[in-house]
Amino acid sequence: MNDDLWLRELAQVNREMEAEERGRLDDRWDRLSHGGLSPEEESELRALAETSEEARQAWEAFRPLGADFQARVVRSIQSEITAAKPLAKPLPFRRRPSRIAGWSAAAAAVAAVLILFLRTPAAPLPPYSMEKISGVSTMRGDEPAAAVPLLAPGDRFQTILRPETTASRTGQLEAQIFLSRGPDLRRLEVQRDIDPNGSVQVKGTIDRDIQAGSWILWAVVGRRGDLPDPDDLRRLSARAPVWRKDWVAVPREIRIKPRDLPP
Amino acid sequence: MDDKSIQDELRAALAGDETALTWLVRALTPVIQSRVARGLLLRRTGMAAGRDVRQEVEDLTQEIFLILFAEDGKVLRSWQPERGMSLLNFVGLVAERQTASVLRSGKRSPWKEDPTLVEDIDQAAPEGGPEEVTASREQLRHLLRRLTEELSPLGRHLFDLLFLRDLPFEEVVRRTGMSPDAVYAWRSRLRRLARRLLEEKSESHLEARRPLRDRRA
Repeated sequence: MNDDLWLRELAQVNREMEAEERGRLDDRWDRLSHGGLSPEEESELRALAETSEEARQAWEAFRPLGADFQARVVRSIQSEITAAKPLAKPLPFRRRPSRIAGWSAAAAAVAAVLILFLRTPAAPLPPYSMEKISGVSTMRGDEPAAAVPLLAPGDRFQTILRPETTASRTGQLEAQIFLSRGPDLRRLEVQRDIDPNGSVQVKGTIDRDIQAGSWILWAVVGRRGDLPDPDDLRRLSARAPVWRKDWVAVPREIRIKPRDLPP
Repeated sequence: MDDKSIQDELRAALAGDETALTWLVRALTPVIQSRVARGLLLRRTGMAAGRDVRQEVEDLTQEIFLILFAEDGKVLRSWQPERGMSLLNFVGLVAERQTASVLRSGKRSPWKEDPTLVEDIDQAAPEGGPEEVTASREQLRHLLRRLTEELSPLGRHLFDLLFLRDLPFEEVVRRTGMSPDAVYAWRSRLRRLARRLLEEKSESHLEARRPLRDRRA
């Protein structure tokens, strides 16, 4: 067999193996790890996990490794980095400092800690989820989880964006709401109330001149000055929340109904 | 986030910046976890199959993070976005490789930068010599697993484009941003390596099938 022949066969075997693997573990399992499943898909996999030992193991293997695990990994890596750094040169013995010198040193240390605190960048934002949009009627599919909020032009609405863990430096947080459909992207004027944990309550009104149909409501939470450019939202997939170090964008499909005609 | 921003975050994380490190661990955990989980569920056998899969996934995922950051982030620093691979894809291939190695040998293998290929250049074995290579489907499956384990992420990516997806040469040059000469050299080396691994497998296969008295002779 010459090289071309067995290499062709190798490619064929590779395709077969990939198909076989997808047959056993389709891409929903990968999306489970990535937190990219719809509630319906997640329910399906949960139900599947109860049908066989193989599926139960898949559920255990793919369900997301949480914040505790990630914090452990960060600590392990930091230990490795610290251990790999060369030891600092030992300091020579010094004469006992005078009391005034001691106070000066203490003041300098406090100032250094303050400067360090002020200059230390804030921790990345945790993932956020959006609670039900209230003040609206809903369109229901066959399943309750498939409810799509239904609003009309001029309707008032409110929702809460809740962080998975407490956000740091919440005084710097900002929240914005956008509606997008194809190339049409508009920012809504909203009132927001941010609590010390980083939860954000937003209240707003749907524009009166908006067209009826399906829209994506984007709720964006981020650090002041670091929020995404609105044009960036056009390029994001609206299938799942988008999480960055300084901002989070949570999409939700809503339906705008035609405004009722006056009697 | 574009590749330039990701590289900035990567450098900051490698320098010990906690903010960047936390961001990076959160961003990479899902891809490492899913590749490890796939590897374990599809290929573990024997004793390993009896272990707590959740614990195995956690241990191996953490291990892969430590490999990525070891020796001043040698592995992460070898990621070159201009070669057409995203960071997630690159890290995913590292995770696949490490998982395959653990499942085959039962232990973590230290990071290697295509040592087999360097050796291969020196030996300069002929391409497609007169001796015939025969391969059963099982041997070809084994070869695919060995390649995942032996090659660096870039080598595996190139093997995929050149031989498994059989893309036109010019397309591979375009996708990887490499010079035609470099891609040509990689193609020859990868072909020789694959052939050598296949021959090794064929020989060990024949050896295993030969009666014991013949092997003693």
